[in-house]
Amino acid sequence: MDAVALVQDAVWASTPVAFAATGETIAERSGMLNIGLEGMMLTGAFVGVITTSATHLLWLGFVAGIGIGAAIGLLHALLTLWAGLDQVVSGLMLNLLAQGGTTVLDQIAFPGSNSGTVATMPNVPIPLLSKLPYVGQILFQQRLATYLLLPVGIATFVILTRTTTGLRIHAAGEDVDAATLEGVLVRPLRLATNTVAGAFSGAGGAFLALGIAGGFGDNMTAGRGYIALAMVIIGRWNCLLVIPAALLFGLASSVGIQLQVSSTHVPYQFFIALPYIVTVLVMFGRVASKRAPRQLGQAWEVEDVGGRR
Amino acid sequence: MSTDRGIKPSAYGNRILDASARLRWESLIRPDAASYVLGAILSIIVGGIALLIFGTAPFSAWKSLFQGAVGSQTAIGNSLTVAAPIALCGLAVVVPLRAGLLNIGGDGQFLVGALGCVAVAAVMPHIAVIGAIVLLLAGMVTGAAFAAVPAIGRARFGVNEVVSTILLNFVAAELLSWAVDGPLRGGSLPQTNLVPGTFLLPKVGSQLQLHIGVFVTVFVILGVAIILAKTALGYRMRIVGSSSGVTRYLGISAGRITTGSLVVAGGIAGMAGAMEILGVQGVLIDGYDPGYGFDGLAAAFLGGGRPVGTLVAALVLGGLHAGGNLLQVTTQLNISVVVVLEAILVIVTLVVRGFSARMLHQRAQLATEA
Repeated sequence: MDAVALVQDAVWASTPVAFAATGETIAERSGMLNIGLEGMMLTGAFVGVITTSATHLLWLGFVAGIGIGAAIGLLHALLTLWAGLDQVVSGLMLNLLAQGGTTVLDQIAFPGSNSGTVATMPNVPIPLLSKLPYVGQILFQQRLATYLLLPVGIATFVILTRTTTGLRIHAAGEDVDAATLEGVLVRPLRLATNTVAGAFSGAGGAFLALGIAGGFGDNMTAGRGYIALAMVIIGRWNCLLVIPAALLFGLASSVGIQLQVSSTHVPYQFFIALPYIVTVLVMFGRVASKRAPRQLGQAWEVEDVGGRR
Repeated sequence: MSTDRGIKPSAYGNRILDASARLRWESLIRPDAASYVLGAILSIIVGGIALLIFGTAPFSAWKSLFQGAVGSQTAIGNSLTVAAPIALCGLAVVVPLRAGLLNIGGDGQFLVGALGCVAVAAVMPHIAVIGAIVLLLAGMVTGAAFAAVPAIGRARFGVNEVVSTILLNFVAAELLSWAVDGPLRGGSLPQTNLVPGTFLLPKVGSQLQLHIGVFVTVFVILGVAIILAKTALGYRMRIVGSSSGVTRYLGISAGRITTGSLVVAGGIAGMAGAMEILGVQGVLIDGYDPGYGFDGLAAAFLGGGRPVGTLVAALVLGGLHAGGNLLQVTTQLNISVVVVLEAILVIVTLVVRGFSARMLHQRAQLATEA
């Protein structure tokens, strides 16, 4: 078992969750709870596969996945902010909608067992850096989308903590009334953060289908959206911690696959369950902060403060 | 902000009741019948659009659905039979919700309960009536034990129950797969032995074919409704769920109430799993995952978080599922189309209910100001 290859696989496997978790960090910082990550990832995966199999362009499929994810994120935001639906209800029902919808559409679009197998994204080693010992193989021999993670993560962190917009997002998530009185337009802000979260999740899902699996399978996300939620909590709503936390999932996943191959006594079901068990255990370990953004998940009406719509 | 030192309010679970404390509390207490009717009509329309996207003529599709749901005595029997586990799993959401927790692990607790039932059935002597009761209890205990993990996690470690219960669903599925493939395997196929006939639940009605578990379900729901609404325990749960912070002063142990509510929920869902095995399936097959936990979630939301409302919603969803079987035959659509229509039903109905509650609230405000 090559340890370096193992970690390389872990980074690769954790990319979808990392994307979704980063986007969700932004949304939750603004006080919006988006449990619909699972559905957004799944739809992103499906749309990505459909687009790629129709156009034979991997990057277009990836972009399409981002787009549909953003659209669902926007829908979730509209349902909760404008139509007054509870955030958890909206998220869970959108998940159901996505799970059912993609399964039905998958059967229509790809009848038979060939669920739209497409070519996967190729491994693109970065010229000089990939020659570095250990780190080179782990970090710099990945797919293009995985390389995006680091700059995107840093950019998100910088935006959230160093810019006025980030400050407004924090404000909306901690004390909505005060934020409104200071002139922050909370509702459009939350609309935007949720759409962004959806876009990230769509990207994660599209990568899962196009960069890892090479096709679509019913409910292929298998709870990754919920794991991303856990990662946000474990990472204490800090982008720079959330992405390494997602690596946790990737490690459990790739270690599981390795052990599955090499061990004959332990049933394979244990290794499939391993990532979920590990995630729950980490949450038990009080690694996670309980300092959630105070407005997380709370519905809020502008009229209560006397702010303008 | 509440500062109940017994247990910190969950960012996820309590917010539902906090949010409901405002405009939605009215709609939770006094459901506006008109909004339900309007919600149903709009759901049919929006669902029809979805069906169009799936390439089916909406009108005939809905006709198939209605026919499969209530078109014959057999259909009604099917609807009620499916409605029972959905109602119980909905109850598994409602009970913790009253105490401020959101239990999304109903599916996993259901599966574990089914597993426990089958496991005990394999080793139990064949006694007729007591045997079935013991098996149902076995399901209940297994489900409760499984739910104890996230319950303790929430109370003692502050682990968010929304995420932990969902993740444990996947663990439960793998547990079932291992057990049915391994220790409990009956023969060459990945499934258990058939449950001995003495344990199977008797059926009522030659065409309805309702197993008595369906009637038990109704009693359970009514019982829980009474407990939640009329007893001191139910009152205490509501106080804990309101996260108002007064539990310390009233001598209520918030931790015990929340833990207990989640464990009870697991027991209810587990019993539903056992009931399905003894009343419908008769065997446990690898990959068995009817998803009643999520249907129960939908029923609980549709029912406004109240037991009787959940029962009514479960009847509707049961009909939807039964009708979906016929729809699958007539349109060749994947059975998941039922899930799509279900989600649409919940979203549209709740949106309509929310708007109507807001309108009523504004009208009431105007009336008092005038």
